[in-house]
Amino acid sequence: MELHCSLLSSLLADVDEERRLTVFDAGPALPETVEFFSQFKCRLYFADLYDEDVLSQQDGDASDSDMNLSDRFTTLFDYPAHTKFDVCLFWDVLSYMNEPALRAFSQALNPFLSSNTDIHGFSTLKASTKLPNQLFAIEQLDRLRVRPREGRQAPCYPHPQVELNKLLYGIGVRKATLLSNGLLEMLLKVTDSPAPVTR
Amino acid sequence: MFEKQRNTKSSDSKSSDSSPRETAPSAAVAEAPHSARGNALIGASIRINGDVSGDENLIIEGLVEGSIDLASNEVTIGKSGRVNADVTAKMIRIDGEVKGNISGHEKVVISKTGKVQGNIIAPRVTLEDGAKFRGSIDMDPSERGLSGTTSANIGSANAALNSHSEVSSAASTSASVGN
Repeated sequence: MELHCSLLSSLLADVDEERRLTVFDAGPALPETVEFFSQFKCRLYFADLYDEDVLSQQDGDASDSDMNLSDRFTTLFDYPAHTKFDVCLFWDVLSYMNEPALRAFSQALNPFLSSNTDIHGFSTLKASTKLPNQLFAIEQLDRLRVRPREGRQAPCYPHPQVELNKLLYGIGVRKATLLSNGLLEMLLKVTDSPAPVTR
Repeated sequence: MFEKQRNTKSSDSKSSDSSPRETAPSAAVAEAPHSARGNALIGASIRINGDVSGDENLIIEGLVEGSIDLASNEVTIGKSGRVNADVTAKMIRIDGEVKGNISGHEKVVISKTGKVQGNIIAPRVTLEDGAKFRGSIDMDPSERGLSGTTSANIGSANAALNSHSEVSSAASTSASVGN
């Protein structure tokens, strides 16, 4: 199944072909995404957060674990210190993170972001929206390939745009559009002043 | 220790056009350079702890821990193959499991049964449906078709990645694959 995304094309519109592109994909490595980026000189980092314990344990008592959420995300994002992502793809993890997880995720990712980082992602606005259990891969500049995700769907956490702007550390929603499937397609940008951390 | 898996459908015109072995056995042997006739095979029951290097294509169905360096050849990690090692080769196909950094001078393919944890550097990388991968992929389309000149680049880039890799290998012995 295909999903046309009007905001996606601006993500890579100004890419200098001679420049190495550094891309963070919060989802799993999928064939279409790798194939799409093979046209660029690039380095892709796949975090596959959905399948990480950090999401399945986000509702647990932090005191039961040796590491809190922030430490877990920091451990997951053990990238070379000089790494700065040009493009971040949040497909579709934001909808599966509760508020503390969103804060911890964005804080751990922050050292690898710059003012030039462009971010594309989805969110679910309302609990009444049935979030499809799907995976996303980029196929063309304005089109994603949607695949059914195997296995049981994780709990969903709706986040309106205003809430995301408060929860995401150093990241703000720049543009958003509601898709026909109920998902909110968003372009996000690194903000000058990160939202205050509240726990 | 190592078996030779002969390719009976080889396109090698010399071997297919050769007279039957009964009539010219010496000619058949003389025309059979080891690297042109087949692939070296590490069988499913074989475990290697060390460095694997050589000058012929290699199929791994067993377990290798250490490093694999076949820069001018093809390496296939078969469905039953398990590799805890950095792998360098011209072309690499993964049907089994790899934990380690992978440098393909031309291409790396992770098949639908393949599972990789590590960093990949290659001009071209292909994931098939169902492939499992965690790590980073470094691609440079401008290096496609320049395999002879990419070795140094891959080597230096891989060295940088190695310093940050979660996967490390410690080879305690050395084994070479070949005749």
